[in-house]
Amino acid sequence: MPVHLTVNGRAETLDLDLRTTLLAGLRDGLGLTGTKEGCDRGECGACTVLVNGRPALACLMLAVSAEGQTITTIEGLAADGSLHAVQQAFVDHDALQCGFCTPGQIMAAVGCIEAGKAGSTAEIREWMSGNLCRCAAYPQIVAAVAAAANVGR
Amino acid sequence: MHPFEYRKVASAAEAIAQSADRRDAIYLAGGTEVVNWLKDGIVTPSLLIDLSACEFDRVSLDAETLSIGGLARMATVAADPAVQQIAPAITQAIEASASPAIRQMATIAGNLLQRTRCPYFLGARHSALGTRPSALGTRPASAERRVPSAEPCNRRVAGSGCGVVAGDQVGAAILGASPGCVATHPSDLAVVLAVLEAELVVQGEAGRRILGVEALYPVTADPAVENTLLRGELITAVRVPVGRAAGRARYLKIRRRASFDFALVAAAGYWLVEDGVVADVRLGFGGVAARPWRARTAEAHLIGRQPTAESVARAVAAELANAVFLPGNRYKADLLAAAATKLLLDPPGLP
Amino acid sequence: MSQSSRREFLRVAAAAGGGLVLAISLPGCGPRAGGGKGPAVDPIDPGVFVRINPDNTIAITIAKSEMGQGVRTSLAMIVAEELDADWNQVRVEQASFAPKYGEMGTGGSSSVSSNWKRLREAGAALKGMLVAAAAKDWNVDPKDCRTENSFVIHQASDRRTHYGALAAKAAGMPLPKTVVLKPKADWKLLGKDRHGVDVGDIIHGKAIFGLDLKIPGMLYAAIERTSVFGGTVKSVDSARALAVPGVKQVVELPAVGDGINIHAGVAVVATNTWAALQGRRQLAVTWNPGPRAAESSEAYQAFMTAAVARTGDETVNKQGDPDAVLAKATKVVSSTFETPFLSHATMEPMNCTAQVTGDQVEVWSPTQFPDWGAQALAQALKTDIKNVQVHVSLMGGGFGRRINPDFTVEAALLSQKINQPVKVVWTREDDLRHDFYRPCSTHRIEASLGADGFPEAWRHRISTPSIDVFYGPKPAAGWGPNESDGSANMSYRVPNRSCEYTLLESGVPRGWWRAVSTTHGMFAVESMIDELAEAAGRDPYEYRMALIDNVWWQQPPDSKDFPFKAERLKGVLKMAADKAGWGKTMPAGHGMGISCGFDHLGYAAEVFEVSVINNRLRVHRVVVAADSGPVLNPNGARAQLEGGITQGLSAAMKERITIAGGAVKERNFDGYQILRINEAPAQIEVHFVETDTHPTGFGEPGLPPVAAALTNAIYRATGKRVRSLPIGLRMV
Repeated sequence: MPVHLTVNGRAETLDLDLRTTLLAGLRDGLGLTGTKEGCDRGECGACTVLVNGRPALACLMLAVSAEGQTITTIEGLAADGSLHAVQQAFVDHDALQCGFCTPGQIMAAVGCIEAGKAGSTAEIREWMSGNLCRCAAYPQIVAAVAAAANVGR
Repeated sequence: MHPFEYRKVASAAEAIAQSADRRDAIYLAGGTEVVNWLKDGIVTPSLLIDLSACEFDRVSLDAETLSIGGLARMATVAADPAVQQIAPAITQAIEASASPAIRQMATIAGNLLQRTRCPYFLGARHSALGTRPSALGTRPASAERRVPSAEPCNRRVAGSGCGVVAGDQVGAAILGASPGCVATHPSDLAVVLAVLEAELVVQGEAGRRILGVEALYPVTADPAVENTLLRGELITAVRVPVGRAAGRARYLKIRRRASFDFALVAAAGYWLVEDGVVADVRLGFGGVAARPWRARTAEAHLIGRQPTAESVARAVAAELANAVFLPGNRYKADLLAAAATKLLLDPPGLP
Repeated sequence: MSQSSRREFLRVAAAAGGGLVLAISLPGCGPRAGGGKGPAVDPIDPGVFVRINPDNTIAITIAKSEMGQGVRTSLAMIVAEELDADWNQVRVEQASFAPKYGEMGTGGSSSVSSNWKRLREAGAALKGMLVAAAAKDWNVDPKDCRTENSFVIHQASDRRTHYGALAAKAAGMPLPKTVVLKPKADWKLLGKDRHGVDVGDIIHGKAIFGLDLKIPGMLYAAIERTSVFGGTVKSVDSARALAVPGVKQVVELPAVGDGINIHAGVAVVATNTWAALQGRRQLAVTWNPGPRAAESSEAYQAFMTAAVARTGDETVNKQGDPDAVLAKATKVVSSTFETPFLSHATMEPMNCTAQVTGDQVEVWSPTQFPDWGAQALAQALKTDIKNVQVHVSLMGGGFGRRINPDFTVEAALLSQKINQPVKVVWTREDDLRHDFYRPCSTHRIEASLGADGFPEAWRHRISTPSIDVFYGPKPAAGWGPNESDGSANMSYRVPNRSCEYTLLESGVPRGWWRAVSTTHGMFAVESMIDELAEAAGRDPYEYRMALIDNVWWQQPPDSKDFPFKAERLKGVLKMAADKAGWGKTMPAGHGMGISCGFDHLGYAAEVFEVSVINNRLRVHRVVVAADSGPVLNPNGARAQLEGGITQGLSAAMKERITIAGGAVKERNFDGYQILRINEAPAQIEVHFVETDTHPTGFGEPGLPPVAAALTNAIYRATGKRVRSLPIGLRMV
């Protein structure tokens, strides 16, 4: 079944089994492997993308439900080659170790800041709690999100 | 995942019409429940009706009613100024639910229609914390069948038995259970809505009807009945009466993890003290039954009493007079009393 | 300043296009001692390359695997420092398996310590040649030249040339006979914070992990493995699986033992991941449960509890006569400590892409040990190791799980059977239920105190399923030393002490989980020493300081060249206590706990500050002091310590693998819970004691002291001793 999406500003058509998740559609169908699969149950947050600007877990969304919607993945976050404030903050604060959860962390952080939930360390810790990091770069992630939120202000 | 047809609809009426001739159609809203059910084979519909394009997702307020669309996203509702002002416990309950990412996707109606997290229902999705290895460990694993159906669960396979009896009892119900099922309902929001005496606007083939939130759930746990909606019916809105209860009620959830966990127990409510005694009170419990549990016995017990921890403890004990405990969930009695005491005497601050 | 004249491991050559290549052979190259089974290689076949290109970029080959620990960054920094390279021009290239690279295995916090000397000398030698080339050009004395940021500079004549322009000429220069290595005071790159070299790719989603790899013509496979360890396939009905669109083939894969340890399974091969997973759901497999199907965590615990109540099957070591002293003692303190099986739970589940054509084997694997992988591939696919190529991708975490070659070999065996390239994808459920687990354990320590309050006798009995036993035939005894690392070799002075070990037979696969045996041994020892301090009425910090000694009459296996130094352990303990404000008054319900230890050649001491209020456990502050010698990349070292501590905390508070019916019960992160960001300590303060010595690693030493520091703090907050892990965030 064909699904039409705008992904990172480009119109894309995916022909897939309608049981396919958005995650599988992005990774296998479009080769956008920046979005990671860590649990396929909405537990780890590694597959977080933006759907119409809101964070969504791509593993809990059928690709077909995203018909006609606008998806932003980690690959499309840096507009015109310049880093998004959250990406820059993750670099500045070394907010990653192995980097596997990082795309999901960054997309969740974008959502957290846009929802106005990055006002304090406690708030950031709560609002980023859907994203697991086994390497535990947690202190740096909190610092990066706080810094990026300040840039936006 | 079994094959299914998929249709996206633009209105409740269209959704109902689509489901009319398909007995096993199910609705898809936020997806955070249904997509996992599909993956796990908990549901095997022949038709999936996607509601995401429907517009009953707004929050509105008039003098008497705060109205929340069934398709409103949990995060949107929690952040809504009207909700925070009129019924802050709704925001508290939502923000205690799942994770921020899930709340961005999940809908209000979907939250009320969640299915139990009982490990046996989910195919022995075993909770590693606070539990001792279950007696299942000694069951001979002869000719193991494929995993999801390996654990007994009357809710999953009628007549297969209940794994909790000899197994993991930490989450099991203490009130309103039936011999065949001790599942608890996982919704935090439902507990608050029961205390606020909210109504559901339900639409179906036969038209529109109004249902009290408590009436959505069977009185006694029945493994064959998840809820009292008729086939094809949709919750299009939740209506919360504006007033003292909505304004004063608070929600307190006790769980093992700081986030992304279901309640061991939860309490919602408030009291009003006049002349040194309780003049008005509402109290509801979560994590104790297959439904949100309005603690009317406890409420009656508290009226006219001094607002003390002792009064609360006695009231909770009265509410639990008919409770049935298993060895693994006895802790809930004390924890519930502690939660109710904290809720009423030292209510959690607002976000 | 150190000098070296051993240049036999270096070779230099002109590179195509006008550059220069310096090749370095690394430790572990050459024929294996004692005629071991490893491949014999030319002892001077050089492995690591430093290539200076005419455009002034410098490419450094890294033959260690990157899993987030920053090895690609730190090893490159070592070369670049001595080379005086412009860090912005340094590029890192990942080595694929080849015998010439020597020990490629990445683990044991050993990458820096084992490469430190040679990489420095290589950088210095290369710099010497570049200087020689420039000096010859300018007709000046090389001694009058200096180097900086990839330039050779002759101050007197104000001339400077960049390395790229000198490379071709330098290739013709002789290798310096001796090199002078920089003293620490002159370091420009080392000792300063650096971002990881892969960060740029990662934040754009461009970094390619194993799961992201794609090779032409590749198929995808999901494998249904026996959930009961040791189970075998009785029958498969694949009709419905084959009916799933995209599914090409269903292939039965028998179990492989021989130290590789692949479970019996049924692979569903498809044109995409989704179809493979759907097809797998449609399989109807009937299993023979095998001999392990009745095993359970409860039965294991019953065995271990009984085992530590009697004399162990094996005496690991003994000094004095602890049995006699304990028998006569008027007061014996005895405590039993329990820890569960743990999973590595890397964020990226296992996976591997393989292409087998005839006797040629090529894999792309997120493996920590490409060398073991290559040997295992040759063994299992019955081909010569010369025909085996192992390419190493970035890894979404390792923590020891990716040491094992199972996932690599399994993919290759499948590719061989279907005669096509294939990527085997593991789901989270596959990964959690088919790990090589940190063994469960039970420790019982009995001790008596002398008149001075210090321990007179200490008898430590351990029962675990041994890691090593899982990989080979079981002799009568001899497993104790490895399993009791952190226990038998604990560093407190006790005149009469012993350590006994009893093997628990178990079908659960065991492996190397970050810091390995010390993760449970140190929990027992550091808890017990706290209990003894309490019994003696002493402060637990002072008590430790008084007892730490060079009593290592049995060194841990990896410490031959780096013997334990009591002063270094005392040094970190003192720093941690000082920085934490040890001894200060705490509010009600709050408490501080302390713990320390030596693990993987690193010293660490930790102070935890916790509160337990209304049964709710919170960790407010963690102070760690660590000494692994000079800190090369403070950024990376801090991250490793914080990561290790948080993983240790996650295990102590939340993690448990439960065995029931011979299988793992937990399936995903809902059941196997790892610490989330809002549960992790908001503050981990890292302090370094930089003893001037050969540097070692930080990846592991921070982890083992965690559990005891935490439970000791809980004791001070509540008066309750926690001796069984995990604790739970809510103490019921």
